[in-house]
Amino acid sequence: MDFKELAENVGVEEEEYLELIELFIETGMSDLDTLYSAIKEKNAEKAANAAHSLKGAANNLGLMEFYEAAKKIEKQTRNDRLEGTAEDSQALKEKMDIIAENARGTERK
Amino acid sequence: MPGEPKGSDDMKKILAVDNHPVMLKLITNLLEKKGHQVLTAEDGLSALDILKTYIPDVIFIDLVMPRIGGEQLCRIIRRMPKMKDVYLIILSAIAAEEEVDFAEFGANACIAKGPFNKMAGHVLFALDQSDLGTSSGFSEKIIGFEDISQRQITKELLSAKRHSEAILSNMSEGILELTHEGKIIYSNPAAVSLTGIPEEKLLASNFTELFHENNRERIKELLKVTGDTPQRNTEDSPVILNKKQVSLNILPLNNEEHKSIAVILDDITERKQAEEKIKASLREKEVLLKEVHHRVKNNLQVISSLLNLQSGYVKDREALEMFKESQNRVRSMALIHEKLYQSEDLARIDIAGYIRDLVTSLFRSYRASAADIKLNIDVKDIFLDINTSIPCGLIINELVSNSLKHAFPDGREGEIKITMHHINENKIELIVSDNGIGFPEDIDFRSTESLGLQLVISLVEQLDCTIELDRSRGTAFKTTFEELKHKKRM
Repeated sequence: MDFKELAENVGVEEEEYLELIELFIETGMSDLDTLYSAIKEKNAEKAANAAHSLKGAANNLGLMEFYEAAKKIEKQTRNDRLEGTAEDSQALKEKMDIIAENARGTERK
Repeated sequence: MPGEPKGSDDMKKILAVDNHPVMLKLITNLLEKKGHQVLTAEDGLSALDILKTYIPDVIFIDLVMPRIGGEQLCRIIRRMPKMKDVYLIILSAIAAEEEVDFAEFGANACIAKGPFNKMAGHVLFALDQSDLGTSSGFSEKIIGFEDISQRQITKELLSAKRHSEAILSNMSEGILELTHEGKIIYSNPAAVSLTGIPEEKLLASNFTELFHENNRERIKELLKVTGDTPQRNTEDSPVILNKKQVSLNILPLNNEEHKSIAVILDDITERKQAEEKIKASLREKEVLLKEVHHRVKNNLQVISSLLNLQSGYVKDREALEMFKESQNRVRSMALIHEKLYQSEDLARIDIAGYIRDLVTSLFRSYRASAADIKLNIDVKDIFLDINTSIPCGLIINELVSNSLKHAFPDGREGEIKITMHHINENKIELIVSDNGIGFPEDIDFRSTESLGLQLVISLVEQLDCTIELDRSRGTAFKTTFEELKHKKRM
């Protein structure tokens, strides 16, 4: 994952972008927790709101793959359909883990 | 040079309101680099708190936020005189999804959210526009709109929200939403007119402070609701708000994202006034009814006294006896009316007290022959209405008079006993007995010449019950009756 390129795309310095990514991971993890528990409780509205929050921030930061995945979950849960969303959320979490790992790796450099 | 901080003349005071930290950070970084001063708020309520002391040049406002949304925040700000020159820029993903009529709620520009590289340009462009001042009117187009495709889902979401808002706006009850600290974050038009406080002042203010100091502790207590507490209603003891009597219906709203309290305000001033009128009118009627019973009793007493006076001119012993009996009968009825106007509810009398007074007066009336006769009354907790107690009283009057007159000749000693009990929920048993010489074997009590017994038989019929005579020990008349519930005497 090339944060330098991502930062350029978004039009900010790499250092600033990493700061934003950190914030994204922090709020994103809590949104993901909310998403999981919402799906478990079969609360489609709560799930959609969590997915919406994840989607918006990913869009701002140009994380398009993550954005599309979150958007898919939001669309489905907005229509009150929960089937398959547990697997989709798991995939979203994996994407988040990759971002987090990369972010830590970049910081250590 | 691009990216170079501008001079202090161009420095703008900016407030950014968005519930996502990433968005706030992006905007803050971008604008601070340009030399502007940026404050942030995570929702409308916090924004209003900041605006109490801070007057920015430009405010960026997210459209969808918890606790006072963007649209409402714009409307409130526009109603604040000191904010009349502030430039409002709506910032929302929703803007791209629906043609937001941002000018309608007082915003000057609207930027669609999206990848930040595109957004950053739009943000700076809108900021430049703000230099032209609010007087230049509103931008017509949503900046960045063309970059983002329409998304049906959010449109539906918004229309559902609009629908509930329309319902709340048209309700006659005032609806307020409070944070758990008691700050008002939503008010429908009815609540505004009920409190008499404009919405921009009402929102972000403290609910408790709407009330008079004396009421505040109570309101605080009422607001201590949790999800487990059932809703609270103060209809029985309304609070005073804006000189009106208002009932509060307080219910906790446990939304996953934020806990809040809904308060339904109902102006019950007129209802309470009507209630007071009805109560006053009822009191008046009760006084009148008491007065009527009192007069009926007095008139009967006068009849009884007249009979007494007239009996002074009667020489014949038998005629004299008749006068006395008539007098006792009239008194037994007068006593019912006396008991009624003394009773609590004016409809029923405590029969035990009545019997005691009635029989005592009979003993006094027959004092010559009653000297050695003991009285035993065993009646507990029976209350009867006037329709039942009048015949019942007359029956007791006749039977006790008979015992006093005939059961104990020549100064014999003995006892007269009256018992009255419920034998089940509806039925009451009355026994009037004596241990005297006994009812003559050769006389059928159902067909005698005696006016007293004839009266008893007809009264028994009136009560729709039966009567039996037991001669095993002295004389005992036993009757079982029900309270006359549905029969109305004409």
